Amino acid sequence: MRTRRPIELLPLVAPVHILIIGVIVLPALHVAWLSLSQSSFGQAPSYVGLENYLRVLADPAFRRALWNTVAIVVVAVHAELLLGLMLALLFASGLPFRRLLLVCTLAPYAVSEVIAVVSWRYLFDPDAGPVTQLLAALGLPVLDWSFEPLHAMILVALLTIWLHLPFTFIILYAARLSIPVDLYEAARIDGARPLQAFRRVTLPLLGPAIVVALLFRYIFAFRIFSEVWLLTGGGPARTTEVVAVYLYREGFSFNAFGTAAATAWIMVLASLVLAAGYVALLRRQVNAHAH
Amino acid sequence: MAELRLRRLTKRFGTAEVVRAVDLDIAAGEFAVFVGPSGCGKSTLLRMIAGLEDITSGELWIGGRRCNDLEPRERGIAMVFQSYALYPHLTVRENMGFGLSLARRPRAEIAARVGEAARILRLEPLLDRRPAQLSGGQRQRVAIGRAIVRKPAVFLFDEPLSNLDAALRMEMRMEIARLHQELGATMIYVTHDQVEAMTLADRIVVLDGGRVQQTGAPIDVYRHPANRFVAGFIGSPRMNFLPVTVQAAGKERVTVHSPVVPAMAVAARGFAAGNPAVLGIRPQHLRLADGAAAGVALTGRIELVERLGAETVVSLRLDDGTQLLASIPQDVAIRPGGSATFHVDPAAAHLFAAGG
Amino acid sequence: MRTDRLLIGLGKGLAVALLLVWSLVPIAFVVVSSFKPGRDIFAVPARYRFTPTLDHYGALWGRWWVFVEGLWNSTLVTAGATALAVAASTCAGYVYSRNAGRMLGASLLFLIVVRLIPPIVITLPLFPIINALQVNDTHLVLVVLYATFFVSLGTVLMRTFIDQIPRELDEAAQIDGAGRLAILRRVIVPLAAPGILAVAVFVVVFAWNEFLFAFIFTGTRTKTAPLVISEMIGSIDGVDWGILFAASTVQLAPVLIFVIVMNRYLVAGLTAGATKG
Repeated sequence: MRTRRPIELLPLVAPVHILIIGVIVLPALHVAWLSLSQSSFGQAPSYVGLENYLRVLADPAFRRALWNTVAIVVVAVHAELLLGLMLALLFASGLPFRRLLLVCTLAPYAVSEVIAVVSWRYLFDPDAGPVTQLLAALGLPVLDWSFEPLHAMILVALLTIWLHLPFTFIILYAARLSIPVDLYEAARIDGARPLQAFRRVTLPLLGPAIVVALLFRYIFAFRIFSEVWLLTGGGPARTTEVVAVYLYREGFSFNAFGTAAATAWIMVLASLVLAAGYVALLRRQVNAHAH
Repeated sequence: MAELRLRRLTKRFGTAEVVRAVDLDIAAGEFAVFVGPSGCGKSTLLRMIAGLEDITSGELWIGGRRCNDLEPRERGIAMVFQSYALYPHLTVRENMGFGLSLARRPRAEIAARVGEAARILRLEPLLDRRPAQLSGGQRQRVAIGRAIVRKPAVFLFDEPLSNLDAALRMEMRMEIARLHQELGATMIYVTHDQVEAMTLADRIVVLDGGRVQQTGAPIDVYRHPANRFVAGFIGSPRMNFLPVTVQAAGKERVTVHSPVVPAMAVAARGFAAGNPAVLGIRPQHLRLADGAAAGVALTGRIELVERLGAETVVSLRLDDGTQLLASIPQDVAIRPGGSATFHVDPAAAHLFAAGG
Repeated sequence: MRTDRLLIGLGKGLAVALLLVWSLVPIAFVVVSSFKPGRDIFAVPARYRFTPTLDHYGALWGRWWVFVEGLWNSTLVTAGATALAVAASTCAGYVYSRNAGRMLGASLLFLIVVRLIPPIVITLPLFPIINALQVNDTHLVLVVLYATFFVSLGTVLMRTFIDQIPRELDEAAQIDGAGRLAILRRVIVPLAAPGILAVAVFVVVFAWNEFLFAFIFTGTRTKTAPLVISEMIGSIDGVDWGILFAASTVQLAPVLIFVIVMNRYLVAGLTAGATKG
């Protein structure tokens, strides 16, 4: 429909923008201001510059949380990518009952973090969990996650991979399916062996999808909260905290709004840096399509 | 039925002028065909009449009402799209009644009018199907039916037959001609196909570069093309153009010649001796010399012969390199390679200014 | 050659078996254990043959009425958030699909980037604001929050799906006398139904399962089902695993069935959402 005045379109786009601006943008800006001031309940905030950021960055608990978060992001996201890629190739190689298997693979997507924690806590219960029993029976080391911070982090990583593998898998599988069959036929005529076809045809053409999946998962894994909170609560002794749990504790347990806000903006900046990569990629794709 | 008046109608997209100051009157009940090469502005002009494109400047009057700022629904028009634009989620019946249902007409009236249109177009057995279950020709008839149901004062057709195969196209062409006779409504039809233009139109409007080049009854436009563009566009195979020089200019007649064209007198005005000019000869006006034939002789080497059965198209290369097409209305057994002489009656030749 | 093929077949079979164990076992244990007699749940060695019982469901109904209320709250919030997100995204997606311009392009990019901000960031200032507006402990808070975090993706998805509807249909409808809203309601919405379902799948799954916002912004009246389950995990007088599994099964079953039924739309949505922006 031709539009005489752009203002006619406003009622249709306004709801989305009102929600986004009202619920995300303005509060995020408010947080930015909070991060530069000192305040708590019942106190008028006063401007303190970057002091909150310095305090957060100097706090051993924050450093520990940041280290934990980065470790989870790096380990879990790359493991997801590898598994997702293998699954995508497995599906693309032709499977019987493909739709049924696809639905089974997607099932964890439907599961709430809370239910996932219930299940994995039970499976890995240090005394009587079925997986613990199985590992012990096989003579393998068991995860003593309620005492060993490292074991707790491993469990969190496993849980994260389990919850988000469907997403990574679908992105990669869809990209793999969109590679035309003739390309593989042409590669075979050109004398490529299966492994060469994978390295020289599949991998380069999956490149953009891999980067998209990675960036998305970096951004979303960096905000991890529920899995950790429900599994360990950050304990023992704040050793398994991640950045989001640290933020929650500062803001809602200790009412230290300034440092919580500074933590929040550190998260925002980290996300936006990754988002910039994503946008740059989108731009390049749009330009590539235009030519 | 309504008449249209277009006054200096102009459309600009940014700095590009797609339709330039078009002045045109279309009488009530007339069948007007806009024809021209792609990009000539014919579709844009139609969409301006429909109200799908804004009018940059100029005035549009339909049935005595100024329509520049009216919504499409207020203009009393209906339109048939090239892609048919049938709503895939609705049945044929619902597609045809969509406009009336939007206008909240009573159910009985919608049923009656859809039934009437379906009868005219012989669509009754298809009323409960969806577009995906129809053939191309059937979809086209539904699209026309949707237009009929609206009882518009003006029907607009945007290249409606270009997605159909040749046989169906001819059938639908006759169907549309029959509709025009039955409904007597004003119709404006856009096409790039000159056969459609010649057969359907009461009046042809030839467009190029966003301007009207000529309007008139199809046969008049064919016989008396106003300029070299129209002469080249209307008629198939395309008219031959030969560069010539004016030898002598009289009041009604101009004598021209060139190294390959013997001096001939052609009916034309506005030329002066010594001027360069372009001689236009339709392929159908070149006759194979058989001794008895009179007229001016053109001789060249035969390069290609296309024997179509009822017609033979001969491609001739003249001594100066110009190519000449001749259409002979019978099957003639001649072979490429040899030389041939064709005669042309100077009365059938056209003369245009050079460079145009 | 034959043995090669056999080996490949075996390898694939093994991979599929591992995949099924990995994906389904954690879910199966929750569901199956909810029917186990309490003493069998932590039996050593693990007991896989048992007499099914509905005791835990009975106890859930009798002792955890707050969970039943939680289900109701979850239903209300999910329905509200889905309706809001779908309606807002469809309207905006239609505009972004049918119009172009520097401002519109920039504003779409803005939507995409902003949704990448971590949700926990905005909890700090929203907490006092919600109290000030006196909407604390109402369903509205979660409805608005959940919808907001999906309108960006929803708008992009709807734009992608509406792009596939030919513009001639808009124009035909316009000639038929439809205004912008009529075109949207009677032509675009029916034809963009797969997109609408894809958006709905995302919002339903998110809203039904979400923990963080529910944890921070609900009081006694609006606790959602996941939150009640999380409280069961953390209850001081020891976890009653039987009841916990029963509650988890009840929470999980509807959304799992929903995802299974709607898997085509989920896949289409994930694909379009990630690659088209």
